Amino acid sequence: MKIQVSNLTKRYGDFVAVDGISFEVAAGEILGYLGPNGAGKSTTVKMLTGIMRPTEGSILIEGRPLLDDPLWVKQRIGYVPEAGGLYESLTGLEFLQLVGRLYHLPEDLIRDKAREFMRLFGLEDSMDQRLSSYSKGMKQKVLISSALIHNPDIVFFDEPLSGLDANSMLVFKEVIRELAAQGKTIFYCSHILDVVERVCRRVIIIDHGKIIADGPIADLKRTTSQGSLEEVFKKLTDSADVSELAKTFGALVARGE
Amino acid sequence: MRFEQFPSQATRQVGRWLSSWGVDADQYHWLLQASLRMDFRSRRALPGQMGSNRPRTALLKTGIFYSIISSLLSISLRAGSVGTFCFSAITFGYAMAMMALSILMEFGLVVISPDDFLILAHRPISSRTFFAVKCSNLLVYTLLLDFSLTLVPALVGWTFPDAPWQFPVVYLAVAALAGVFVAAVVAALYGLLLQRVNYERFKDLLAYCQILFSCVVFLGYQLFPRLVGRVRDFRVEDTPWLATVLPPAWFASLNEIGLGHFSRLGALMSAVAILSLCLLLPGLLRSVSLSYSDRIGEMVLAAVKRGAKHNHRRGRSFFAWLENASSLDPEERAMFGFLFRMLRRNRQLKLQLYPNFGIVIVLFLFGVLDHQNQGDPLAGGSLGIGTMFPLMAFLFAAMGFTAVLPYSDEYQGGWIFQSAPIARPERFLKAIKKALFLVLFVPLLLLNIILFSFFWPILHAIAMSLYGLLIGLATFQVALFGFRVIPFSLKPEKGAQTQRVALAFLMMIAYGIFMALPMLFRSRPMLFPVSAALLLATALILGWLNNRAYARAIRQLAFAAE
Repeated sequence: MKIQVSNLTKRYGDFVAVDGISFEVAAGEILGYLGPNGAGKSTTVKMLTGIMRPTEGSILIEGRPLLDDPLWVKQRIGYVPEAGGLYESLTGLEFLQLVGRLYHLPEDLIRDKAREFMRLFGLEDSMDQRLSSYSKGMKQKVLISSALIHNPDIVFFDEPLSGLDANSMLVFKEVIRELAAQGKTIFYCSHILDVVERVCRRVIIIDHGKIIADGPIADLKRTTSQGSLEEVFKKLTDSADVSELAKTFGALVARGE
Repeated sequence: MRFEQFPSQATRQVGRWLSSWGVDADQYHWLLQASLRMDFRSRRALPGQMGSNRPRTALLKTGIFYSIISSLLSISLRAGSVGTFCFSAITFGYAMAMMALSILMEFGLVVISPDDFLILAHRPISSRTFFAVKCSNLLVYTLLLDFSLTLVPALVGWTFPDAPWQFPVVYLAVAALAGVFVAAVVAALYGLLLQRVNYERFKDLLAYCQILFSCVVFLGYQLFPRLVGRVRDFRVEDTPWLATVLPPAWFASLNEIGLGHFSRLGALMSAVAILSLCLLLPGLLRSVSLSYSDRIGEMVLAAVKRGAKHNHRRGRSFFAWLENASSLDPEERAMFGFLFRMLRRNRQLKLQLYPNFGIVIVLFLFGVLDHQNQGDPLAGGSLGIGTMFPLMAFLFAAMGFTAVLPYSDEYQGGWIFQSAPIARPERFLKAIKKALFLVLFVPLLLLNIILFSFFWPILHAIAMSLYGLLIGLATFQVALFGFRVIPFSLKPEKGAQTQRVALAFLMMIAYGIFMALPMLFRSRPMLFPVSAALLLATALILGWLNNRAYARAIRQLAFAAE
C-alpha cells in the first residue's frame, strides 16, 4: 500500500513540531525515518497512524484520505509505538487475543497466530504470565506481535529494537525484509543508524520539523561525500564534534572529586 | 462463578443492543471483558504472578465501609419513624451523592484514561464504541458501589409497617436506576467538558466539581439531623416544590409507585426519572461519543507539549528558602523538596487533595451561618459546630493526604529513590510529615483561629484550634502506619481513594469522644493542657514508631521484587 503525505504540519500554539513535510512511500518499500531527538519523528508517525490530527496537510493511504476514513486505514496498518502500549494486567496471550479480536479475526486464527508469535519470540513459557512480570525486551516482542497479528499492509515501527537482545535483533531485521518481500510497506523510525543502513534502501532525515534529506542511502552518501549513514546524519544535522563533547562530559562527571 | 468470568452473554447482548447506535458489538464485548478482567482479576487467578488486585480489594473495603455507614443511616431513619417516601428519598440522595463523589474522585480514570488511548488509538475502534465501553465500565463500578450503599437500607425499609413484601426488590431496582442516572450524568459532564476545554483546564474543573461534591456530601451530614425532624411525616404529595427538582425525590417517587403508593405528584416525578434516563443515555451516545477519541487524543497528546512550557517562577525564592530551611539532612531535604514540588505542580495530585478543602469550606460556612450553635465549648457552649470544625478539618486533611501519598501518574520516577544509597529512609517520612504540616495543617490552623475568633475570645479560638491540630497529628501518625512505599511511586489504582475517604467518614463516628472532651475542660481547665500534652506525646511516640517501621519497610523494598 502506498503512503502519500502532502504539506503535513502539526502546531502546538506557537511551537511547530512538524513543518509542512511532503513525501511518498511505495508499496513494499522500507523507508527509514530519521532525525535527532525532538525533530518531529514520533509526531509524524502519530499523525500517519491516525492517533493525532494534523494541523494542516493531507495523508493518503492507497489514495484514501486518512482523516475521511480512519477506521479503514487503521484496519490496514500495524504500529509498534516508542513507549507504553500494553495492558500489563493481562497475560501476553490475552493481550494478543484482545488485539486480534479488535480486528475481527476468527478465534481459531487468533489463537494459532498468538501462540505461534509467542513461540517464535521464545515467549511460550511466559505466555500465561501477566505482562507486568515481563522484561522490557519481552514486552517489546509482544508489542511487535500485536502490530503484525492482523496481517497489516503498512507497518510503522517507532524504535522497535528497544530492549531486544542481540539474537532477537538479528531475527527482527530479517523479519522486516521478509515483510517487505510480501509487499508490505515499512515505515521505520530509529536512532540505531547501522541497523537502518542495513535494512532500508531509502531514508528521510527530519530536523526541526522539516525534511532535510530524502533519498536512497547510497545517493546521500555520495552527495555528502560520507562513508556511512551515521556520518551523513551527523553532517546533515550539524551535530557537535563528538570527541570534544565526550571530553567535556567526562570532565563534568569528574567535577567535585 | 468467579467474578472475573463476568457474564459474557450479558456484554454480548448489550453490545448487540448498542450496535443500533453505531457501536461495534464484538469490539464492545471484548474490550469490556478485558477491562473487567484487568480490574477484578485476583492474584490467585495466575499462580506465582506479580501484579496486584488492588481495585478489587479497594472496592470490597469501600463496599464494607459504605454498608456500615448506610446501615447507621437507615437504622437511625427507621428509629426516627419516617415514612417510606422520606426514607427512600434520603437514602437515595445519600447513595447518589456518595456515588458521584467516588466517580469524580477516581473512577473518572475509567472514562478518561491516557493509557487506554495510547494502546487503542491506532486500532480500528470508533469513538462511539470506545465511549460505550468506557461508560459501561464506569457503570459496573457505579452499580457495585450502589449495591453496597443500598442493600442494607432495602432490608431496613422492609420493616416499615406500610412496606409491602416486594419492598427490597423494588427499592434495589430503583436504586440501580438511580446509579445509572448518576453514571450517565457524570459521563455527560465529562463529555461536555471534553468538548470545551483542554486537558489541564479539564483537570482543574474536575477538581472544582470534586470540591463542590465534597461540600454537598458533607453538607448532607450536617443537614440530615435537622432535616429528619421536619420531614418525618412527609408523603410524596407533601414534597416542597423546591425538592421536586432533586433527582433523589424523583427516584423515591418511582419507588413509591413500585410499592403501590400512587399519587399525582409521585407519578409526575417518576415520569421525570424515567424520562431523564431515556433522554440522557441515547443523548450521550449520539452527541458526546462521536468525537470522543479525537478529544481525548488531542487532550492527552497536547498536554505533553504544553507541560514543557510551564514556568514556575512564582514564589520560587520563598519555596527554595523553605526547602533549605526544612532540614539540614540532605535526604530529608531532597524528599521535602520533591513532595513540595509535586504537590504544587502535579495536577492529578492536586485534583485528589483539593476536595479536602471543600469540607473545610462547608464547615466554615456553617460556622458563619449557624450562630446559635457557636457556643464556646470552653465557656459553657453546647456541643456543636465549634467542637466539630477543628476535628473534622484536620482529620480529613490527614486522611486525604495519606490517601494521595502513594499514587501518582508519574509513578515510574519512583525508581530513583530505590536505586539511591539512602542511609536513613525514616528521614523520608519526617519530610512527609513536615510537608503535610506546612501545606495543610498550618493553613487550616490559621483558618480555624480566624473563624472562631469572630465568636470566641482569641485564646479559646487558639486553644480549640490547637486541640484539633493535635488530634489531626495523632490521626496522621496512625494513618502513616499503613504507608510503606516511596511517595508517588505507585500507579493510581481505582478504588484506593474512595476506600480512604469512606474510612474517614467512618472514623468521624468514633471521633465523637474527642468532640465531647472539651466539655470537661470548662469545669476542670487544667485538663486542657494535660490533654494537649498527652495528645502531643501520643503523636510523637507514634511518629517515632512509624518512622522505624517505615525505614524497615523501605530497606526491604529493594528486595521485594525478588
